[in-house]
Amino acid sequence: MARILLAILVLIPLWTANGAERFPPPEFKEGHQLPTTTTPPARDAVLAYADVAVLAAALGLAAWLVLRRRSRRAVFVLMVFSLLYFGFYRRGCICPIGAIQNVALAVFDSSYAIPITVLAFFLLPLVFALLFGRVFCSSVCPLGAAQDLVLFRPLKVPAWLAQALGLLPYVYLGLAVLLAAGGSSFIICQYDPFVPFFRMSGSIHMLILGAAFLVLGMFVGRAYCRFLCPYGALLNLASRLSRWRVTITPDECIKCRLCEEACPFDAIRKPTPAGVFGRAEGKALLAGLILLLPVLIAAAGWLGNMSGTAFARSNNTIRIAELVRQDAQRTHGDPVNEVVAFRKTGRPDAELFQEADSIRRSYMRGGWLFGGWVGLVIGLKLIGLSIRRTRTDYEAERGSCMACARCYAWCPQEHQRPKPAVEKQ
Amino acid sequence: MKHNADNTRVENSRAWYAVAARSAGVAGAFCAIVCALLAWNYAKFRASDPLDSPELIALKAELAKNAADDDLKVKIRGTDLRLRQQHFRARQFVSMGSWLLAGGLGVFALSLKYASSFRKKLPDVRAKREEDVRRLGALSRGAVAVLAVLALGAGVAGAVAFRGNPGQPAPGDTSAVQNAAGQQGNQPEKQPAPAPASIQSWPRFRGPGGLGIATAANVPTAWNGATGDGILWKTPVPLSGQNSPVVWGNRVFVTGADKETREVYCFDADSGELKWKQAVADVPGSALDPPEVMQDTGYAAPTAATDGERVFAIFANGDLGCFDFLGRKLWARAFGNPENMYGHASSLAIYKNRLIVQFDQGGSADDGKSAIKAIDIKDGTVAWEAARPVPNSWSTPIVINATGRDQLITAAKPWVIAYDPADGSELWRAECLSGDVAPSPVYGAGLVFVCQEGADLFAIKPDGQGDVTKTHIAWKGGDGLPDICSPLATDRFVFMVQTYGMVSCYDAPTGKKLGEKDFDTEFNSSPTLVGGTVYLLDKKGVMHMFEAGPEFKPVGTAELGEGSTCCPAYVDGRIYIRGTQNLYCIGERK
Repeated sequence: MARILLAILVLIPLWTANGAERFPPPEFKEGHQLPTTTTPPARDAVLAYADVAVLAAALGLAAWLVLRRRSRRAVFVLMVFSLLYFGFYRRGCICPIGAIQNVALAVFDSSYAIPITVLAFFLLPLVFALLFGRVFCSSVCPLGAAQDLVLFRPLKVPAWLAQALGLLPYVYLGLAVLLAAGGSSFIICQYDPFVPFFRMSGSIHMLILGAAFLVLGMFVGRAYCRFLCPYGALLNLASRLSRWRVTITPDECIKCRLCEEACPFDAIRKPTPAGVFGRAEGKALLAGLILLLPVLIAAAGWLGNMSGTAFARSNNTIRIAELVRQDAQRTHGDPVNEVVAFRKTGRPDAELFQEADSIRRSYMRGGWLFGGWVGLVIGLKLIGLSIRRTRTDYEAERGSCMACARCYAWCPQEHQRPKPAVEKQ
Repeated sequence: MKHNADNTRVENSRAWYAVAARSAGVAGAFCAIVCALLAWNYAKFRASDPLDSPELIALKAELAKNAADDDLKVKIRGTDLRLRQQHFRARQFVSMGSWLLAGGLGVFALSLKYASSFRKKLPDVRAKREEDVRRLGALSRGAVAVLAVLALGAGVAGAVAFRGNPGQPAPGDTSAVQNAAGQQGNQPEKQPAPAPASIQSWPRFRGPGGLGIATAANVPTAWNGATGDGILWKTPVPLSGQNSPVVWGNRVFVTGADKETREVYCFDADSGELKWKQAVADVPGSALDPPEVMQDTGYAAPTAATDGERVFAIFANGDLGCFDFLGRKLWARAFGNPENMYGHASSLAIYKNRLIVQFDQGGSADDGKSAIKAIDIKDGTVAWEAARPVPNSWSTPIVINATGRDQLITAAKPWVIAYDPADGSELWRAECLSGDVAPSPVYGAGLVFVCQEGADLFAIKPDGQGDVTKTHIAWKGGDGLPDICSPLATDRFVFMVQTYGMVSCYDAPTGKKLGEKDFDTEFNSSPTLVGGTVYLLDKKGVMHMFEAGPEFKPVGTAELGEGSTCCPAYVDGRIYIRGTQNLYCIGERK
């Protein structure tokens, strides 16, 4: 009942916040001079560096709390702080997730200079993931914190479904990089479902999307982080190589099975005794999938290339060129605002069409890379699912463990150890 | 002891649970109240939208019927202010309510979390069933495969749904017709293939090369505007202009302008239908105020030019526009109001892929404002620009090929300057003109001819370098000098036309004056050689035709029935004349 009430409480403000739209000035005709429109100044550089310092400190603290202190309660407190600071105070920007696009744009567009603070936001969590696992996800990411706070009754997502949905972040990552590199849009920011809450403002569609994720988050642990977050995909890869990482038990696993259900993110892997799998059968399957990999990459790359034109339509230049072209077919009415604005630039149509064609070709080339990436991810996932690993203990999976520290509380060994421990690899 | 301690812990837990649960209840109730208030505010907020307020709309409608009602105006302002105040109060309420709700939700969530921590139970591991790991792996692979197929299917659907070339005119696009306000002829049509420069084209002021010599010889010699005899069609031109028609294939272009508006008109050469008109407007950098011009010059004195695919037009305020043959604006640029005492009148010339703009201005050469510019016809960028040591002038440049090189010839006070049209470098110059130079230079018999009332008629050998004033002036003549009309030069003769009707003929190679004739009328139009006949239109619209020779042997006269100051365009079997109001096509219906 309380959860239903919470859902209602979450939804109602969304409805009302839709009213915070732009509003035109009155139509003064005599005397009154409208004040000059001003652009808000950029955030002070010192404060931007302060944000980086806070991020670094939060990451360091999170690593210490997760690996040394092994305290869920402390992690929870840090999570609330991150939600307040990076979420509500900084209004969700800048964040490492969106910084992916800045980095992509900087790599592909030499005219764009990425601010050092943005680069730091992008790199710091990755570096920490390489050292300590996904400590950013654990208690520093405001998006993760928002979902973690509303998680009351976690339900198990079937493992096969979770494996399939786990591909989406990689696809989203590729798409975001493609569109950012092509100068079209920063879709990660555009479709960030939680930023409207942090800013107390947003379109009704985004508020509904955010509310849907929050309601879903009450029953499915961090659905956005696990099945959509593109930065999570990078952190997943980085944390597989982490120097130190979460271990469920600080001592020898006694296989009490108490921790099996402790993880709301299905990141705990059970022991798999040797001899479960047929060796010959596994080898044949694996060999087949390895042979399939280049075919998948090539096919998906080709398809990406074919879809390049569709992706290109997200580009503003192409959109305006299309409108200008359509305007030539107009038989009545006035031209749309975009066409009027373009005409005012005095720029030749031919030049616009030429630039649009050049962008379209770039997207066709980018489509190869994007498609190839998707094919690679799918192929590697299939291969990964066919590799038989033998485990003797309950383990937190390196890539998907969000280092939330929930599992510690369930381990009897944890309660017996007076001192925190960190497993060194 | 241990038992007591456990009891105490259990009791403490219960107490804390009760605190947490009650806190959650209070926070939940608080949030519910805030939500209710926000919902109420939202409903009110929607109802009081000033943009769609029925009350305000009704008042404005009433004002439209009774515009002089001052009381009503006061009432509207008061209502508008009230509605806006309500609107922004509601927004402030939403903002505050959102923060309160966020805080309430935070307390609610934390309380619930805390309360639930007292109700945790250990899982019953005995009830759990072991998973079939092999089956799970197969299921996972299947799910991944399904997702992959869905993703690839989405890719295919996207590729099919959005195939084509966005932002590009489709191959064979037949619909690109401009739709400017008031434009006629909205039926889809193709951009016409450029007709070859031939007897069917008259691409600039005074025809091919700007020399006033038609390549067609089969043009009419008789017509009558009053009776309509020999008039193929006659179409009004929306805005006035002193410029002349230019023709390419089945398109005739003229321009028109007033203080506020500058337009290019395209007429169907066969029917006279106005195919399109397009404004040269909203040009970045365009002067905010119109220039001061003499009434006789007007705002559209320069003649347009065409290269067979595009048409270019410049106006008195220095705005230059380029359109394709369907009226689509390709580019435009502004040079700003020229400092010109009569109004800018120099027409455009084309050299290869360059549009030549002679932009002389300023009361004195020392002003340093005059320049000649070569504009890239494809995008309007300045390919080269050369400063000119002259004040404002009204002549039009020509491009000739003499002594094996292309030369861009310009005339102004005091310098006649030849440039290399490829890069704007100066080839030679001669100091010979004075006054307000309006007649354009011409070329014939291997000589460049320039003239101006108050100066002389000069024949300049175009093979010099540097200042050729003392070395390359072949001859000069002092009679019959024009102030507006440009001369006409052939290999044998040079004709000059004075405004008040006197026409003089000189021997082109030697400079000997051969004869003169007073036509007893007024001319602003320049003479044109068609075959062996000189066509000369007077200000009343009467065309005087005479054999090109010192005897001025009459060929005939024909009346348009409408005054004209333009230079007609002479093409295959037709003459296009712009009258003060109408554009005429003289010719036989085929």
